[in-house]
Amino acid sequence: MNIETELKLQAHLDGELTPAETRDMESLLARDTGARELLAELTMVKTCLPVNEPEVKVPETREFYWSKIHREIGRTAKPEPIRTRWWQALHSRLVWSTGGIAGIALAALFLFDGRGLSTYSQPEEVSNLNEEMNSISFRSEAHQMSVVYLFDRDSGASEAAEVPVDSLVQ
Amino acid sequence: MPAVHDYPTKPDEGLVKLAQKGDMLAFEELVARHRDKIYARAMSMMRNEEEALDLSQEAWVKGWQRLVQFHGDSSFVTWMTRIVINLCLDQIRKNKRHRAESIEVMDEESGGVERQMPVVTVNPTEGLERAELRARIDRALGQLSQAHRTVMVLHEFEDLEYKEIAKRMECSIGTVMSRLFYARRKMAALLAGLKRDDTK
Repeated sequence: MNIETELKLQAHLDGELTPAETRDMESLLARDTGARELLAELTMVKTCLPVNEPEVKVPETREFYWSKIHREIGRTAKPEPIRTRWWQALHSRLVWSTGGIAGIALAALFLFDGRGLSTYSQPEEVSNLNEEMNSISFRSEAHQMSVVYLFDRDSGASEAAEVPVDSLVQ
Repeated sequence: MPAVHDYPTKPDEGLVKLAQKGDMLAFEELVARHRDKIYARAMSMMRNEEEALDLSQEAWVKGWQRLVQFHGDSSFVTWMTRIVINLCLDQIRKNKRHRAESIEVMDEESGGVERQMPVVTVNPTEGLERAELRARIDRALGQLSQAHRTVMVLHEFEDLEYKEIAKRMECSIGTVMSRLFYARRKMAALLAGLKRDDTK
């Protein structure tokens, strides 16, 4: 027998031949002693191995064997991604975008009061036209207030008055 | 209050369902129940205790990670066995890259010594106690080449068809058939040789 025939003999044993090939092989087996002997040898190995697989036990205790598996599972576990439904994501976007706009608007309201960027101005001195009087004045834009301190140059009498900013406009 | 389960008395299906919901204790029971079988499969393919331990444990970790993909088409232990087999095949490929395989390839191409051996006509397994027969089969398997042993394990112990073995071993069906043929012939000769040694 050539190797091709021998391999077909094995395939016949393993049920891997087509019906036509099976008929040919059965015909060969009927007339060839060598083929029958080879088939018997292959059959002996095929039948005795599956039911006599060597029994092997894990050479570690249950706890020790498991501990390594458990540790590796813990090490390789990834936190589950937080899944949001589509409407939750949309709602979240709307809230943040609206809030953001509102926040910016509110900040702008504080920063811009219609007159410019400054919220405080330094107090400034106003010149006094009365030669007998001296005065010192202070103006605060933030507080919308001016304070004028008047005093007699000779007598030292003084009077202070809070004057609204508008009245000092020249 | 979490439910209390009597894990040792639960069948595999019940434990798998619990484990799929994240019950680690249920999975640990599955490991305890089937660890020998999974380790034995790794050992039969690798013939190295350390590698077999590492690969079997890696298989369990992968089993946990992929548990949601198990739908009960086969038994749980069959599913786990497939995982460890694939890991062993990957490792065998890695190991092969580190050593010359030309001798083995040449041996297969020439037909091998096994082809020249006379046919074993007397059944060498007759009359043997089961434990002794298993020990002889184990010894004989250890004397096969990696390639021959792998195809033997996949066909005889895992009952895979030629096409499936070829796919997993990434070779042709013809190569599977050759390797299986030579492996069987060598096994027969080894078992007969062991029996001859006994009678001396």
